[in-house]
Amino acid sequence: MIQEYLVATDTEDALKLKRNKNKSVFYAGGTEINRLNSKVDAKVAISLAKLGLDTITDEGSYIRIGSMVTLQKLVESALVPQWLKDAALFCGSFTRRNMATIGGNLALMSDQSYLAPALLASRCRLLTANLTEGGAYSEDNIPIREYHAYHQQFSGTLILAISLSKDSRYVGTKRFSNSAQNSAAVTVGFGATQDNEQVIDHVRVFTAVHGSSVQRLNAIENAIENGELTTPADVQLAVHQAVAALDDFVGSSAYKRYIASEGLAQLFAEFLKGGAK
Amino acid sequence: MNKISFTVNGKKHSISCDQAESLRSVLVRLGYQSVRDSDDKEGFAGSDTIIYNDVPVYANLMLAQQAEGAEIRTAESLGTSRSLHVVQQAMIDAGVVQSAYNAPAAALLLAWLLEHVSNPTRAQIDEVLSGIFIRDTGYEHYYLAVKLAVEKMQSGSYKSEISPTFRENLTYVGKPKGKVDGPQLVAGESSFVEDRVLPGYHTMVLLRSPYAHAYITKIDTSEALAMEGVVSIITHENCPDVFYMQAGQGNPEPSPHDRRLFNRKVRHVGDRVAAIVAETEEQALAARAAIKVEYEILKPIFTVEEAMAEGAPLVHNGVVEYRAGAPADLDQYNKSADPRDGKVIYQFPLHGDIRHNVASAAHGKIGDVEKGFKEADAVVERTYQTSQIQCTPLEPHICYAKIDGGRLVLHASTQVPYHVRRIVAWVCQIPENKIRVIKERVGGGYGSKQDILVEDLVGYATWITGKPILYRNTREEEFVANSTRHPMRVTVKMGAKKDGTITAVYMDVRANTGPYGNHCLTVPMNACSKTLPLLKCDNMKFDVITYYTNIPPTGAYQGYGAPKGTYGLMTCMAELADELGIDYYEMAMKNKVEPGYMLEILKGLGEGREGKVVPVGSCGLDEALTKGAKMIRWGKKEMSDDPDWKIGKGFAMIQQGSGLPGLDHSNAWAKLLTDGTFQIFSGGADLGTGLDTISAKMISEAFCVPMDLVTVTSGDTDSCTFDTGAYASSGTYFSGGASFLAAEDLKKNLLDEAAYQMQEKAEDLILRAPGEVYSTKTGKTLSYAKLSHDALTGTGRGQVMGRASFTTGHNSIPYGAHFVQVAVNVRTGQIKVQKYYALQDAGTPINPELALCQMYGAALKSIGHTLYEEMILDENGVCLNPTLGEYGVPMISEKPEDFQAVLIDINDEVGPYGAKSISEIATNGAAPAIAIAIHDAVGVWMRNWPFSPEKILKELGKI
Repeated sequence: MIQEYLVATDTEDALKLKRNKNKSVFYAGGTEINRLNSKVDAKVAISLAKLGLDTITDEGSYIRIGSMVTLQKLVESALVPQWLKDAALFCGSFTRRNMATIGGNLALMSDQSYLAPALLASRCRLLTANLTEGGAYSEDNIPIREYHAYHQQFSGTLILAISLSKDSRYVGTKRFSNSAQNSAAVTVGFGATQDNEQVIDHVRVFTAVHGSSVQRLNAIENAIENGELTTPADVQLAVHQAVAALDDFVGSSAYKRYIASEGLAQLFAEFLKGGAK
Repeated sequence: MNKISFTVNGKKHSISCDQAESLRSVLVRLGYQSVRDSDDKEGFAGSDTIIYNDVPVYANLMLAQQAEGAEIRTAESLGTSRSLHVVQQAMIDAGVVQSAYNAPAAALLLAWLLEHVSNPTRAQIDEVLSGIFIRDTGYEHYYLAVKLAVEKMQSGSYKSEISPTFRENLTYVGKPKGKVDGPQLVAGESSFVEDRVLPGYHTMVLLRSPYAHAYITKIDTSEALAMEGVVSIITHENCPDVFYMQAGQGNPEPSPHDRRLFNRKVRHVGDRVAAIVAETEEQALAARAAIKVEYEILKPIFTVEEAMAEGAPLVHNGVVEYRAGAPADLDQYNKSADPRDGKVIYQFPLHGDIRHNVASAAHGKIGDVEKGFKEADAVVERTYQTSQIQCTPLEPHICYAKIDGGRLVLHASTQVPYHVRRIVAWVCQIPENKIRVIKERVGGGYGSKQDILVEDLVGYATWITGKPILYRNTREEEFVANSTRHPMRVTVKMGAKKDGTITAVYMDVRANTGPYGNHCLTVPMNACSKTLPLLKCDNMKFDVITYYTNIPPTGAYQGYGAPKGTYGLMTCMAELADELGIDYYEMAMKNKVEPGYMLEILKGLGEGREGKVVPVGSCGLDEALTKGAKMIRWGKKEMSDDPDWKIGKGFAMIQQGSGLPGLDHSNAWAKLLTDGTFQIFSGGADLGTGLDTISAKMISEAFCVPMDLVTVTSGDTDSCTFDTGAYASSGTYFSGGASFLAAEDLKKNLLDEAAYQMQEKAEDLILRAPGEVYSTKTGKTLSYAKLSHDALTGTGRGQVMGRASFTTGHNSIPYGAHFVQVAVNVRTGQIKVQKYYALQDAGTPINPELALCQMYGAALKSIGHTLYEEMILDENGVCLNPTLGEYGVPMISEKPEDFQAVLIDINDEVGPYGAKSISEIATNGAAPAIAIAIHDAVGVWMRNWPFSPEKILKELGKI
């Protein structure tokens, strides 16, 4: 439970506070930190409200989305691609979308994440800020897969922005829950490119499974790129075998594996048909 | 403590707050009480919605510190009850302001929307309301409210019809006239229990059991008692040795007295272990943490099957007593009793057998079912299972009690103020004249506030300490320690001839009452009594057995046992039609009851006594079926453009009751005030559904005066007369019936007084607008004001008053049919409810706009039960999903795409102005209609609700 609320004056100040304050957390929208049964164990909130990270800008070859941009701003922005709007709308409450931020959702990397599977599938990059061991301020531009793969190591890192390339790429996402605002059993994201020679490349396959984690299915990615999986049925079968899932109150492991495989197979089919870019 | 400054509704505030304090908490401290809390910071229900720098947010999910310099708007910015915003008025007029706990938040959202979009689309309304949970009215009339507001803003008046009207000869009855308590509710003014709490109150918190089944072997409260601010700790060791039960039903009660305030044996996770009363909540919580408890853990049981098993652990193994009708072998039966289990005291025999976990049982039949099955060309026998469902009122259970003038005064959110008084008196062992219960506005009840779940303890603690005490359930406690819908296993065996004529029906109902026997006889019996009388069949039989287990408590929930029974009976009939190869609709039309048909089956379906055989009276079933079939285009197969989505149709016949004839009793009285205005005192408990508005209309209609000249006082046991309460669909029929008769009695007495004063014969006098007596013989008039003044002078004959009680043996049964069209995705198991048509006969709908909204609300609730909602327990009995979001209540995104409620115009013979009940019946249709539609779509029968995608996929063989 938050016991101290501090407002960072700039990004460096935010990072210093984070380093110096025990059990501190970057405070973006607050929807996860303040909510009932939050899994965030922190006593000090470091507000990012004054850092100017709440804009979406067209940077020519890419779209820059500040980490404090709310999910509702994503929905309303003309610059944001439809697949990311779809993911933002997985948060079924307009009121909560007005509060929750893209950076906050990504930083949690939870098994319930609305955005992570889609963003990971998009191969976007993250603009981050950090302090070196000696305390010097530094910024970096990292692939999102790195942030996912080594998530625990980024606990002191501040996401400044998400950089979405304008290169042609298919990205799709689906969420499966009993009702719109019920816990999701599975959220999947699929991304890939296909050139004029019909060569499939840069495949990304991610799934957030309730009770498990956000999983990257590398073997599926490789098999698609290598031409071993060519049809939606192939993908479905392979994903079904690859996804890790547990029985819990949201659904059985069998259901989660099935629906993850079905969802990804549908996205793959859409991709093959030349679906939304 | 930090000091923050911000602006609320244009007013600047500077206030000190704790670093951890939520913005909502600070706003409430500043007096903005419309910013309520329904979900303990889950960020789901939206009662805490505010506009923050022109953006809607949840105040509970923000730290107050964030708000430095912010511009905030709350519902108080819109208007007051005397000067409403156009949106607030439109919401009242559209009928959506009912239990209204978050109506102010909804008004704020819609007003904000209209500031940004002058004529919003349905999609834009859907978006804005997506963050607010509406349980009572099902969202549909919110579109109408917005439309009305837009019309008013654009042209100064409404253009759209609010609802159909009924009885053209009447002025108020059958017309949408607004709800008398609507303005205060939508404006967020003091209405609920929490608004009545005075400074200096003490807080009660409960220590609850972590085990589903255990004996408390040791409890040490010494350290906790010594802590600062702690006033009292109540446990099984110092509570009264008084057995009772919490179901607010008739007296004698048809549920066993099987509990004390605290028991040595805990019977579910969340059962009461200790109550801590302290000066502050923080002190109470700290003391709770200091209580040391040791348990002897017992094996729990959770299902009917486990309870039935030979050698099953016994949930109750105490001494059995009977207040009447004890069996001869009772002493022998009690030889194996364990005194640590306490007692189970039956008021009269319920065929219970606690040594086999049987809380109650009932059996009955007409004709010869075996003969009927032999005569059938086809017989099917199917079992249907229902899950445990929570009522989820937006206002949690709450009670504030104090001592005033040596008496115990309880401010309660209850459906049954007189049962609260009776049961609290019994628990405290004090006479009823020492207790006053004031029913405040009820922010949603749906049956769970028919049970005395918090008032018993708060009343006792206040009585022994003399301190004012506030207790309020957390949302988790609402799930684990509250009344819920009984899980049931309903087996239906049905036989029919080739032409569809049903020859025999057998229903076997096995109900799970959980740890205590609230409504253990009546809810399961209702599964039969509100279903079998729908069918013309000479051979019917039922067996009902209710078992104790260690799941969270069960009790009353809107629909009572009928949703479960209807699910089983109607789905089985559809399965039989399928087996016979005939059309289900044709089979329903062939077997449905008609006016005049003698309901012999009712003989065995009384609630703990022999039922009365009566003929079917007013009945709109045929019209509901024919009209509904036409609306849904029954028989026409719909196809989707997407081959993954298959479309199907279904429907269900439904019925309920209008109170309990021969059991329920309502009283009302009314008086003419000195200026010719009126006041009526109704014993009825308006739980948001418009019962007070009905009472006002009874006076307005009788005396030709506007409703604004009528004041309604209700739910106060000091000033009002007895009423059994708002349950069993009795409000309009019984309580409204008493108000009708009281108005008629007042009218008679007023005419007598007028005849005396005018020196005319009473039969020559009539009452007419704008509120006067008129002589048809002489043309003389006498205003009510002058009449009342002269009656109350030094030579007058006294205040003109009227009083009445309402009882009846007549069954005014509301009927209906719900039709549905669903789309089922064969690859994902997802279901979309594309069309939902609820057609119901409510007799004369006295408040038609409220009636329609209640139909929408109940239908959406039951869609929730059918498709999404379920309390899930782990192997230890711990509820895994005790939040609104994880539990899965339906929101606006789950509303059917085409949602229509239709009132079938039928005039009842007995109800006030021909009225019958309306709301409860509407929970009965969704489960069977959707199950049948799913079968029509994809060919599988869903026999276990909720019909989740996972279950659909299993039935389809996909997993």
